Order: sequence, then structure tokens, then C-alpha cells
Amino acid sequence: MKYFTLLLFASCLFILGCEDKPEEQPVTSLDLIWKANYDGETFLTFKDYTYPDGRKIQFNNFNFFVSDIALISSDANGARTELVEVDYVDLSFDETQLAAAEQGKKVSIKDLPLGEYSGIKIGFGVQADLNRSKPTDYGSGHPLTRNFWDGWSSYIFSMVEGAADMDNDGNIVTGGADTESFTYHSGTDEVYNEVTIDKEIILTDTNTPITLNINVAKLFINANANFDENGDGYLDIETFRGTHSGPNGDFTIPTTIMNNFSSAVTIE
Amino acid sequence: MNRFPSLLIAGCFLLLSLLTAVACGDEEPTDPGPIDLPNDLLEFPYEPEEYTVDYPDWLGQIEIPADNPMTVQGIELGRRLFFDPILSADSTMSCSSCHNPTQSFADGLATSPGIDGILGRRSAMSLVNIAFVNNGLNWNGSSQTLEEQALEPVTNEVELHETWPNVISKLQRHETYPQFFRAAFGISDRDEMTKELAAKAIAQFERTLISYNSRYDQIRFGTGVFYEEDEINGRDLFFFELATGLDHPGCSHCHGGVQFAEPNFFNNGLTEAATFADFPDKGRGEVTNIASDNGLFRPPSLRNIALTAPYMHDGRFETLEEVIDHYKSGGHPSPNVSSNIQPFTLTDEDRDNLIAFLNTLTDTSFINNPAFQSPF
Repeated sequence: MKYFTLLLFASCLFILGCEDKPEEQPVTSLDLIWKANYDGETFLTFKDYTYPDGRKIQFNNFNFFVSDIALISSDANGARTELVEVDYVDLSFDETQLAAAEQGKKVSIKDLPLGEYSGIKIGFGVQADLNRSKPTDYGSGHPLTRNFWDGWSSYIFSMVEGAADMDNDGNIVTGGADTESFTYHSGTDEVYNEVTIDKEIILTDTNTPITLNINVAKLFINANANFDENGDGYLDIETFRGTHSGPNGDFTIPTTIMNNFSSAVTIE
Repeated sequence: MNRFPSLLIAGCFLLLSLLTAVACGDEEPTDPGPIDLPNDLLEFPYEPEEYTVDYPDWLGQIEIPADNPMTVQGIELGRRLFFDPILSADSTMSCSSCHNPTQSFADGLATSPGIDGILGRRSAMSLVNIAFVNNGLNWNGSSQTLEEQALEPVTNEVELHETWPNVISKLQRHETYPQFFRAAFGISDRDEMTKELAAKAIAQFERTLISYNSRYDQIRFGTGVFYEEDEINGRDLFFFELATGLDHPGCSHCHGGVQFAEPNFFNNGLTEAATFADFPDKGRGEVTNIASDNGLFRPPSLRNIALTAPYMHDGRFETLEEVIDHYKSGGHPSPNVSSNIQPFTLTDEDRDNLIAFLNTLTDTSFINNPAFQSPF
């Protein structure tokens, strides 16, 4: 009788223990890879490209923030699976770093549930809640420890810097009194751009990376005729060689550039 | 009968004592100098007191390495080492020779001579708020941590020109340093004194060198202190800019944030160079071996900038007026000069206003802080 009671007690414990044990969901990892191109050619800094109006153009800095990246579930409720809260993407690789440019910047996300998704949502810029913070709120290594502009009380969502043959003499001058540089900085909540890209994404137990490729040339497509004196559909960089959004500023160029991320990004 | 166990125990004890004595005799040091005495520091106390760096939240976050927690005793040892010429080969120079508290821990020279009178390549950087620098120390970011950086000047031929074994030997034979090392790190004997511990102590001291009581700080983060009109105009020139066009100083592109230094590296147009290979000082490129990083340097904090002339990595500018005139001109052409270095219009009055604002960054309580002065 004593042994029977012990056996019964042990069996109950076993059964209860089994009932308490949570069912383990299969998970996987995902690599998000950021790359850049200039009309299909691998984007490199300090390399000559051709602007739509025919002049030579080169870049020395291209970086941007992304935030609130999520996968959209294929099911009816379209639930979101958060991937990245915020990240800083710097795609400024020179010609000696071609391999790194072709490899892109990778972000690995772990412990994602397997499943089917209908697309991916990306916020270009820093979403409003995070844009209230400052670099001093974070420890080193955090994406938001840089590129904050005090004058706007905002992060600089994107920086596109370089130089072009403004006087069409065949040369690009960088620095000095005759510099032909340009610098386009965009920021503040008004220019934050949330993009959803429709794409069937199936997460299996094998990590299949998602590559997001930005065509830098498309960032200059101009929706506002005021900034397209040439009428070629692109920002007139000779006339408008710099822009900064801000409380006292005209947001047209920053808004245009940030909005253009929607058409500039493709998913591979 | 009952006395037998006692005798046995006493006999064993005697035998053990003899064996121990013989064994100890075999380990007699061949060089009976003080540094070879085992456990010779145990007579000194090891009672480390945790030290919490006192600074306001708005200043940022300091990262303390897990293997080098700050203690009162560690900082005190670091302060002594920082100011002691014992670290140099001829005992004439210390860290403080180039990092003088009265000059916000710089030295007022374009480039600094070492013990042999040979000038270094670059100007001594101010150590103000150095604890907040997380993207590489020195002008080119060559050291990742203060602990790593502190090792370098001792052996640098144009600085202290000493060897670490010599330094450690001198410290081991010193009258008081062994007990300071014991107090800071709990070592048992002098053999445990190492260059790594010395560097850790110096790093602890350097992490305390924090400034947050300038007029700028009092105005922005305090109450009851206000800008003068010229300072306001200077502040706006420094921080704000128009929506379109580039006709503005744009200082905070490189000197943004409360530390007045972006965590990045820039070519600010100091040197004309036709190609990436033509920079006389490769700067950041020496560290990364990336061609387009040649000629890039870390922007120093502008805190206490009025005290740290001359300016730039090679100390080429004597005054802030010269610095502003350089930026106003658009600098010199080179392939990777920052696009934010563009010529701009600035009246003499605006320039004076800009300097008036920069002067608000002076913190005399920092340079006069007794805790930051020489203990000797």
C-alpha cells in the first residue's frame, strides 16, 4: 500500500510537470542585409557617377537611420513581428572596400517564430518616440549615440554628402574656396517615412537573408518643381547644394529625399 | 596509555615543522632584494572603497570596464602615477607634462617635446571629459580604452622614452608605491605590480576628469544664469543653420552634443592633398588602413577650448580667430574633405560673437579642482 501511494504521488507529479511545461515554439534567425547601388552599380564613395543631367557626381558619405522594422504576417490579422527597434546604417565604402560594399551591412535577428509573412515594414528615420531621446541617453555602441542635431532637437535621419562637377568643367573640386560639395541632411519627425514592402517571406529553420538595396540615385528624384530648375525630374544640385530641415526651414528637399527612400529601396 | 596520542601528535608536529623549515630553506631567494619577498605587502591594508563618478545625467554615460572598477584607492594611485616623472627614463617628465591641469590637461604647445627634446607629431589633446569618448582615443582613434592608451606614452621614443620593466622596477623599489598598489588592487607582494595595473590606475584617475560647470552648462542646464546678447548670437551661429544653402559656420556638424565632439573622424580641410596618399599625416588612415580615411582626425571636445591653444592636431593655429577664419575660407582642397567644410560669410562681429559663445565653455572649477592637482 505504501509503495502504491508513492507510485501514485510520483505519477501525479510527472503528469502535472508535463502539463506545466510550455510548448516550445520553433524559432529561427534572420539576417537583414543593407546594400546600396547607384542605378544598379555597387555604390562606392569617391567614385565618379553620372547625374541625370550629365554632370559627374561622387559621394563621400551616405548613412541613415531605420527604425521599427517588422515583418507583416500573412494571416488575416496581419500581425507584426518586430525585427529591429532602431539601427544606424552607414554604407560609405570606398573603392578599396568593394568586398565590404558588396557584402553590405548585416544585422542578425534571433529567435524569430517560423512562419509566412506578406511583407516588411521599415521606418526610414527615427520614429517619434525615440527621436525625443538624445545620444547621452545611451551607452556606447547604441545606434542613437551619433548624428543628433541640437538645432532641430532631432536625429539626422539621413546624410547624403558628396561633390559634383557644378561648373561642368570636367573636374570635381572638393574643399577650398571653389569647392563643389553638396550636403543633404534630413531630420525631424515631419520627414519620418514608414514604408511597407509587399513580398512573400517564409521563415524556415534555415536562415534565408533579406537584402534591402538602396538606389542612391533615386533619392534625388524631385517631386517639387521648385527644386528642379533643369526640369529633368531630379533635384537641381547646382542650385541647391545643401539642405537642412529644422524648425525655421523649408522641408521640401528633406521631405523629398526621405520620401524617396520608398522607391529607392528594393528587396532581394 | 592516554598520553600516547599526545606524544604522537607532538612528534608529528615536530617532524612537520622540520620538514617545513628544510623546504623553506630550499626556497631562499638568490637575490634577497625587497621585490622578491613573498607576501611582503600583506602588512598594508587592502580596504577598497567603491568610487561613483559624480556627474549629471545630461552629460552622457561613462562605461567602466568590468575588470577595472573605480575605487578611491585606485584613483589615488592613478593620480600619483599621472603626475610622477618616475614614468620617464630620466625622471624629468610625467603624463602631466603634456596634460597640465591649468591648461585643461593640454600643454599649450603646437607639438610636445619628449624627454630627449624631440617634438611629437601631434598636439597633446585635452583630457577634459575623456571618459565620454568611446570611439577611439588620440587624434586618430588608435587606442580603444584609457587603459590601453595609458601604456603607450611610457615607451614612445618621443615621449617618456622608458621601458615598462624599468618603470615597474622603479615602482617596486619605491618607498610608498608598493603599498599604494596593494591598497588599490589587493596585491600581496611587489612581484604582482605590473604595467597593466599601473595603466588601470591611471585610467581610473582620468575617468574622474569631468567638467560640467561651465557658463554654458549653468545656462543650459541650470537656473538663473543667462546668455549675453553676443553669446546668444554666437550660440545660434554655432548650432543653427538655414534650411537651404550652406552659408553658415555649421560648427556642430563635427562639434555637436554636450561634449561638443561628434563620435566620428573628419577631414576639416587643413591640408591640400591631390590624392589620398598625399596627406603628410595619415591620421585615421594609419589605424584603419583605408585610403579614404587618410587625413581624417577626431574632433576634440570644445569644452575649455579657450584654455587649450594652439589648435588642430598639429597646433597650427594660435588663436580661435585663426581657426574660424580657416573654416570661413573653406579650407584647402583634398579628395575627402568633409562636405560640411564650405566657405561661408561671417562678419567680424559674428566672429567675435562666436568666440564669446566658445568662451562660455570654460570651466575654471574643473581646472582648479583640488582632486585633479599634483599630489607632490
